[in-house]
Amino acid sequence: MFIKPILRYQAREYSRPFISFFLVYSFIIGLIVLSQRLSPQDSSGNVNFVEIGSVILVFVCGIVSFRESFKFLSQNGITRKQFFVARLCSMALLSVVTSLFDLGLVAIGRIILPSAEDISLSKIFDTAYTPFWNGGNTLIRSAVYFLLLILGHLLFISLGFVIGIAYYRMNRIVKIIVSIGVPLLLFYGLPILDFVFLNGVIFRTLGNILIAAFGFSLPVPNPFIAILSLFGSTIVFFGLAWAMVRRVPVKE
Amino acid sequence: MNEITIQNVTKSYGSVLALDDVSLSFSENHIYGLLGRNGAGKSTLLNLITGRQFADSGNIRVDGQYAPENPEAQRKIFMMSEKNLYPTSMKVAEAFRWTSRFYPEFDRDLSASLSSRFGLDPKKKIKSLSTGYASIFKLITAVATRAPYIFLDEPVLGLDANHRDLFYRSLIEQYSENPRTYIISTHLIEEAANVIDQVIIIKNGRLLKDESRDDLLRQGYTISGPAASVDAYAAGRNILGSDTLGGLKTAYLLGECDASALPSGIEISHLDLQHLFIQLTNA
Repeated sequence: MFIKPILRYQAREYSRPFISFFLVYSFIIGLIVLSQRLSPQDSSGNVNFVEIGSVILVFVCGIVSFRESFKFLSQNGITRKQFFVARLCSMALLSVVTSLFDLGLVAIGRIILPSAEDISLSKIFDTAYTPFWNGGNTLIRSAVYFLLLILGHLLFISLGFVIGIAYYRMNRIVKIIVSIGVPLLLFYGLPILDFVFLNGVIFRTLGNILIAAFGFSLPVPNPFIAILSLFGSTIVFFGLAWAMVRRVPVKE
Repeated sequence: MNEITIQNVTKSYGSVLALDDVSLSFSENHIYGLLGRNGAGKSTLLNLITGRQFADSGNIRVDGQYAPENPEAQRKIFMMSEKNLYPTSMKVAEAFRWTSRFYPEFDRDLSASLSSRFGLDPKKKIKSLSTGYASIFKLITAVATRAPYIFLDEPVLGLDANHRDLFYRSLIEQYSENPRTYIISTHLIEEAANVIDQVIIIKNGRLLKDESRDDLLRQGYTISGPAASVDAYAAGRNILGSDTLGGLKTAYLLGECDASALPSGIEISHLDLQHLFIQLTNA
């Protein structure tokens, strides 16, 4: 299907932001960890959820994954289907690389800080599902954790991708309306509506859905439910992205 | 058969009909001039063939294969657009390198030699190029792809006279060495007239003319002289337009020119492509 050169081009698009992120984020995390380690007053601080950095990176990469790439590849006779398939592969590749980066960061953090009680570099999923793995196989636990990381990254990159395509398709007026209207609605309109008129039903329901989707509604939180939910949501976002891409005109 | 065929293609943007039931073909190894006034539908036609937009109805085939979203068909076409579709941070040399990966026949030596002839610096970022040099960059890329069908949409936009001359000469050179189909959409008809051998004229989204340049030029002629004599001669013929100055009149006609039947006092001359185009599209 002539995917290799397209994938190579798209992977190169991601390499620059990833390298910048790698250098800056490693430096920041290292600085925080070392400052806490070396501080005689406080050596019990926490650097939690280090994955947040790479999640933000992949989300932003998802948003900027469409416009320039699509135009350039269209200029070179690449069809929408080729573009999309290669994009899926390049996004999966970025998710694996950023997940490995997260794992590496945590591993290095633990080498620098042997005492997890002093300062812990905790992992979102690992922390949440500790009871489930009580006494379980370490290899399987690590593999599931890695898969959760990859799927988490894929979910955010696919969400960013959908937003990027939606913006590309909008005309200038709609873009302005959406850019102002959606944040207003989400951060002001919806909370006011929910708490003043609906007694918090909307946010309570959303919270319950999230809790159930990540398997936290069970007596022992189950990571495999989270895997299914993340995978399903990613499929939905990519499906939505394809529906928007398949007939999109190349805007000049 | 090696050709691009367009059958009954219609495309509209909202209430504006850009192409109305257009059928034509581009045969291999010809240089076509795709002519039309602003908004006639030339770029729309090229965008539909290259799959950048989708037709409302009709059929487009490249060498017999259905063209839209067909990788095999699309790899036979390269379109130099008037607008820049290259990433803002990309350098000229990078663009050549990447294009060579998508078009395996891309001639790196040719792109280097043409860059040198046109004075294009490959280390420059594409976005920093002037309008003229941006056109030169896109032209070199298009020619170097060696795609069987090369579309040039406003190829000489912003080029000075020397560069335009160099472009036309380079095009002829390349065409002689490696014949392929070039489709040139331009408003500078006078200059392009020496290069093209087939003429396609689109007017208000409809195909007006599709024939060889020589055949078309043979049909267009001007008669001038006293208004009454010109009117008498032109009566019953296909009059494209006329100009009157005092008692003198010039009429632009299309059809077979019978010089032997000319009344005395009337002069006859053939129309060049640009004037013929103006009369055809004004009519």
